Amino acid sequence: MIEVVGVEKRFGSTTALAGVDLTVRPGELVGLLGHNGAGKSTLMKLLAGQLQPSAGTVRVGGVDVGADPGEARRRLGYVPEEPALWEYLSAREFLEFVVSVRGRGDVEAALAVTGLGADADRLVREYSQGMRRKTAIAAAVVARPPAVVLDEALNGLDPPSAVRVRDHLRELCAEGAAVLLSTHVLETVERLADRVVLMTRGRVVEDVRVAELGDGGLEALFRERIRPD
Amino acid sequence: MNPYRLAARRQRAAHRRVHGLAGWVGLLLPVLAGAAAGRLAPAPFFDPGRDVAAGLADIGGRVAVLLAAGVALAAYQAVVRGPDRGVVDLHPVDGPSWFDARLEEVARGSVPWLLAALAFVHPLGVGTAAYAVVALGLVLGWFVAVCAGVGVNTVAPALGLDPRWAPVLDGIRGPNPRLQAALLYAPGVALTVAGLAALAGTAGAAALVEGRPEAWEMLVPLVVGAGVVAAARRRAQEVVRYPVVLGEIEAAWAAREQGEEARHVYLDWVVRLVPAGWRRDLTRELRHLWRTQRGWSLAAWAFAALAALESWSGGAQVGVAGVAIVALGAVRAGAEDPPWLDAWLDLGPWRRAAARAGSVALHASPVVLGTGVGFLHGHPAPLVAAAAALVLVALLSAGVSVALRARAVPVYLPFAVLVWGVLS
Repeated sequence: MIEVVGVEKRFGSTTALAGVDLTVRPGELVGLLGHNGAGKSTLMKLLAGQLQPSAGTVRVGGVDVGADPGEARRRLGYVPEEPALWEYLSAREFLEFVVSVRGRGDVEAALAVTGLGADADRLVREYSQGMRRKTAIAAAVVARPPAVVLDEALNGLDPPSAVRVRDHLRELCAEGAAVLLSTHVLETVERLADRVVLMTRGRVVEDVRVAELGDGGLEALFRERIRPD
Repeated sequence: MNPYRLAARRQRAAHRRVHGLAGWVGLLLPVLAGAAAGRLAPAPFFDPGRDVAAGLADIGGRVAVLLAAGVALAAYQAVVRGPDRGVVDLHPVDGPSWFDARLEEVARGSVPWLLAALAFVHPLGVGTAAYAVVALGLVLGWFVAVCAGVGVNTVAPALGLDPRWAPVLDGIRGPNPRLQAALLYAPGVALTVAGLAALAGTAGAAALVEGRPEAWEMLVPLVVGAGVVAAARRRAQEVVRYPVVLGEIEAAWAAREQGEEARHVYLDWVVRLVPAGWRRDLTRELRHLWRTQRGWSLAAWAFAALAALESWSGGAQVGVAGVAIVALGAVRAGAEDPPWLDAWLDLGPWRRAAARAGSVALHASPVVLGTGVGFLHGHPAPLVAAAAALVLVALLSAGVSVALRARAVPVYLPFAVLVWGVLS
């Protein structure tokens, strides 16, 4: 479960989030959309414990992120926009590290998600951007946490990898994980998500089930509800 | 097995596999630089004088304090801003295990610096009692700097978040966010603790020469280092709060400087006074130094105050040392410069070095201003010495940072000690 209740975030005189409420229930995959500067990344960072809310509460897997950041991290798999990896480890060694600090996980199963094959034993410094992204996604899900947050994480993946990752995310949801996916690719959300949340100027302006989208689909809704400044 | 240690060990092994012999340059270069600087030093630098113990303590103390400054800075980089942060912050953390691994990494990473310092003092005569005494002082100084550097920087974020410390931090933070105050002063606290303990250690080692009872002071770095490590390790789980501290600091600065910083950074008004062809490069360097090392730039004002007090009675130690230490921040600023950047900016190494030298001189200039107090009270020597040091360390730090990037610090340090010793 991911719960954001009445969250505000101010930076000096700038309001990045102005009272956001958002819930991702167990087994649900929610797509988060909005133009640049809408507040998506700020929300992601609050969930990952990299910022603290000016008001409101952020809970991951039932744990208040501000009160118990250590336990919240254990219950969250987070993929930042820029993959954070160690250049002089292979993907396999990196995942072994993650498994050892998280205390659980199956390295081989996570490697299968990446489709890296023999490349899993090459150093990360030799990887392409797509391979790095796949390794970061594998690190976030290797311990099968109850909540997963992905910030633009599917961008730049080749089609077979994107399909594998999507299937794995659905599999995690089937096991009861709550997944929040931020992206600019409308098609990804339409094909993958159960629900879509639109943000603009630090507010949630639409929260709708994908199955209930009208004739124009998500693009029509986006054009109607999201207007860049 | 400690997972952080295992990951670090694997990374070191991979680094050796990839870089082979070239990896040894990082070890060899500082030692050669230290030996060369020692050879270039004028004879009086290594002459302990008639009071041998006090003379050796003075020599060892100078080198140990600068060594401690470098190690304390490296510890800050490793604990607070190192490449590990991005990875460690995404996962649950076992604080004590992480702390042990950081301590080991900082110790390993700074061994070349210690070797450089030991090479620098070789004119004392390797194998002689005098060399052994100073070498012992340096090892003790290095030990306490590693312990204090990692320890103080580990507990700093917890202080920033602790409401009991809020009044103190608000009093000293100036225009910086409160959360940043503890981190801003952590390297200075680490340096002060390590520097004082190192001085005691070198004095104790020197007392051995004469068999005086003050030799017990050698224990000070060991006790202080072990004490800081024990206290910090107990609170090491607090590093779980580092991401929010760093995230809030960066967000606060980004909000404050939005749309403004591109035009306005510390000291950029000086750019209008320099020739037009140099303005763009100097502006770029001023921005780079301010954005990456502003703590060291602000430290120049603290050194200025101390230099003013000392120069009042004719002393030049703080003025010269302050300039050399502030310039160390600039050397670190060059460590992260990507190799392709200069080519992309169409900026040759000489132009880059010239701009960096100008930027270093500007950032360290408050220290020289401080020695003006001595000049006004009939002691011109501190001002002359600090100004000469400013020119020398600006050229030196700019040259080594542009040429050697990440390997520049241990090469810079021996020559900075030389400047300090000769001019003060």
